[in-house]
Amino acid sequence: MMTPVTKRFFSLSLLLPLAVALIGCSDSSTNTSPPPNDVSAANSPASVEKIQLQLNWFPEAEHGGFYAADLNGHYTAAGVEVTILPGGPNAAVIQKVDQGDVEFAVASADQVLTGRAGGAKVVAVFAPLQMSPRCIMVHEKSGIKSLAELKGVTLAMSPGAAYAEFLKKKVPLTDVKIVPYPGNVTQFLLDDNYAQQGYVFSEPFDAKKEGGDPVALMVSDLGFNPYTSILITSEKTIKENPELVRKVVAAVTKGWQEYLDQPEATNKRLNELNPAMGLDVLEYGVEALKPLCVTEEIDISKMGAMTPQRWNDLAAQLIEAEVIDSGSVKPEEAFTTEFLPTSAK
Amino acid sequence: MIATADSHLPLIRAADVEKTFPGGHAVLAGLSLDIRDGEFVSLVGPSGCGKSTLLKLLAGFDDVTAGQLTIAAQTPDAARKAFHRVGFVFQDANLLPWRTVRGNLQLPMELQRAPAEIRQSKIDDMLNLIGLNAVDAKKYPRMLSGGMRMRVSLGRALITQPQLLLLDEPFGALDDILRQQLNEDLSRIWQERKWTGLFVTHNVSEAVFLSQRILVMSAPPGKIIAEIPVPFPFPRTPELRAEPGFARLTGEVTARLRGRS
Amino acid sequence: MSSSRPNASAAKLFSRGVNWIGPPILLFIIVVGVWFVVTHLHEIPKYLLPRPEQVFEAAWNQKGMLAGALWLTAQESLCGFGLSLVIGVVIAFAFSQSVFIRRSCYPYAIFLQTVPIVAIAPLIITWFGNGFKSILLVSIILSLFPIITNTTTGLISVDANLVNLFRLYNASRWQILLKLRFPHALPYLITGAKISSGLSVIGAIVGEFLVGYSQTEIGLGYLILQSSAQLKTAQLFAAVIASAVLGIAIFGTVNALGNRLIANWTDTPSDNVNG
Repeated sequence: MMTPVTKRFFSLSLLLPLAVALIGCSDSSTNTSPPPNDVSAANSPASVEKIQLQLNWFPEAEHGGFYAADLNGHYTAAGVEVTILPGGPNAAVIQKVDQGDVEFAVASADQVLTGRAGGAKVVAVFAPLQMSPRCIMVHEKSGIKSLAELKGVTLAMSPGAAYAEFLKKKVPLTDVKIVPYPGNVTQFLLDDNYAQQGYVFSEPFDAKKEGGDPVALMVSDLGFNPYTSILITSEKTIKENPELVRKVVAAVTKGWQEYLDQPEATNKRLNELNPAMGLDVLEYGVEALKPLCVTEEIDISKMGAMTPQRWNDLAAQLIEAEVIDSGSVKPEEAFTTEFLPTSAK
Repeated sequence: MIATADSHLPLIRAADVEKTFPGGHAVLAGLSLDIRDGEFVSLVGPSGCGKSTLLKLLAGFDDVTAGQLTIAAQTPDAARKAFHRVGFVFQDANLLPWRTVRGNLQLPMELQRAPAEIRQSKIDDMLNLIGLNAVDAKKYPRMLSGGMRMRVSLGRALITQPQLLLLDEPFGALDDILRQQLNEDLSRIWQERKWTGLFVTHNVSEAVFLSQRILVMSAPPGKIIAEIPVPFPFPRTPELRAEPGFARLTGEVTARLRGRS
Repeated sequence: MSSSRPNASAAKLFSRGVNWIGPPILLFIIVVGVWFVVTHLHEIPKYLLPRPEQVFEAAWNQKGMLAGALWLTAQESLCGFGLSLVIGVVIAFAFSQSVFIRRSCYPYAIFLQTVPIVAIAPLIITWFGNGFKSILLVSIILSLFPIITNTTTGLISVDANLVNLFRLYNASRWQILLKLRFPHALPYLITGAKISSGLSVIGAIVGEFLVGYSQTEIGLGYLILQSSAQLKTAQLFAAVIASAVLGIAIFGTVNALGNRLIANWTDTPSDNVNG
């Protein structure tokens, strides 16, 4: 069999890469290493704190408020230099915040809960949208008027997405072939028997522009309504630098209020960063966002608010859809409203 | 045996054969010779003089650049395709490594689509002739010694009962004792089967032992510069090598090779 | 002293089997051991690096689904691999017979190796829809090139003297191809097949990512995406390990069968090589 020399060689050659992995792991998990950026407890007004905000997708209308805060100087006024990092298809926002690569990020509430179930200590601090923009886009000529009526179509959804798991549990989906979400509307335009996921202010507009006949069926109509495009941060940042969180939340609140009112400059900026988003789409997007951001209960002055009821409901729905295990999260720990300007006590 | 109507006509005739390779390298020039049916002739010459090239031209592996080369009055290609059976023993045994000895011996008969019934008996006969037993017959080439591989190569060349056997320094890689043994076996087989043999070699004593005639070639571009008859009677025995006449003739051929007459 | 023959050869077979399986299993145990120690000593979040027992537990809880997914992906890989072999050999035959065909078509074969599947996925969906056929196509695209290139090299690199030998007996093109070139190319083909075996698994999984179904046909690719999206890293590991096992199984079979085929006339790698 293996000689002693060979055995020793194996062990050594194993330990080497593992040692490297150890070093990498320990940096992000111990509580004693210093914070990555210049975010120390010392908060003298003269020092500028440099932080990063990671988006969960390419810059689009649902990120407008965050950019507006930047353009209108609200971050700088608070002594914070914010670098907004565009995301994409695989933006690992939960991981990056938990590991301290970035201080803030944009995510959806279901991502926060699945993250926490997996051991990521992230917290939601601001929710600009009260209603989820998540929709299923169908062809008008299909005659399908509600999600429960979905049948005989090819349905494109991202594998594992929380709303998709919820949908599969709640509606019969007879004769429906579920395929991966392709990231664009091309297949929708080519195939009359096609339906796909989208955001109500984005894909349907694209499809209509290309001459299609899209109808957006809101997933929130089924009762699945996670807070979307919310600002998240880590428990660590909250514990060690609550002032920073307060400042950033205040800045984005102003940014969002201004974006909904006067989006032109911000839209121009979004278009520069993401040329695939035409100014017309963005303009439409802002209009479509308004009813989602401002509802009867939450008017624009109370922007960003979240309720425990919504988080509890969401947790229960995720458990039912088997996205998280029962008892794996405490919803009340997943969010806080203490940093909202309106909660000043 | 032969297909020519007139048995006085030579089986092989070369008239002013020239062979130049692309790049201007002339290997043969003005080469002329005649070989009669049933003869055993050796071709000796310095390295690079084109002896192997001549054999390849005769086998039809390549074409002459100028001059005439015929087998039974046809081009080598036509002769081979018509009915003349040509055998070739390469410098290296050239066996198919994925076939056993039996499989290698069978190859020529397969390619010529000989009826299946006669194949096995011919193989058995040939194994006898070349001195291999049934156990060896099942082995793969890589399990055989150099000498045994060469025997198989010889057997394969002989199995279709060729009228013309071309041998290109077949025993060059073997040791002296083995080489002498194989020379004796080859001579015996030739006497039994009576094919025409053209044997290329560096080894003068081998040429003398085997042949009726020795043709000496010049340095490249090669042509025949001498023809030396070998008067010793057949069958040639191992004792022949010890006779003074043998050494004298070997010396004479060597001298011709070296350029002195 | 003279033990009965069956016992002696059984013991020999057993010890050869142990020699073959032993080292990888030992390595596996060492790796799992270190992994166990590392994750128990350090507070590493579950979504980043789960503990080995968590991965086993996730695999066990899902065993039905995991087994079904493994079976589906296995079918896709095996069919893809098998078809690659056949198509690759046929193309290699064509390449070996005509310099013109070889020169004109080879670049397209290379294209196969370099084309990003993500880019052509929409085309595949338009032509073949989603599902098994399309996944098969992706698996073939990824695993075809090594077969073509290795087999072609084997077919055309035959010693000139051997070809001359065949010409001596007026062999037809077909005889030369089947009795000379193809056996000569077998070792090359087998090497290419070993490479393709792993690629066919990757192809099947990538195919599932891009052009597959879910709901009724759940493969390892879907499981990987789903568990990744929900940050269920233990499940992700289980699916990834399953796909690795699949790759190893196909490779191992190809390796063993291949060596068997050519053992008589080539020097196959020996276990006795000691540095």
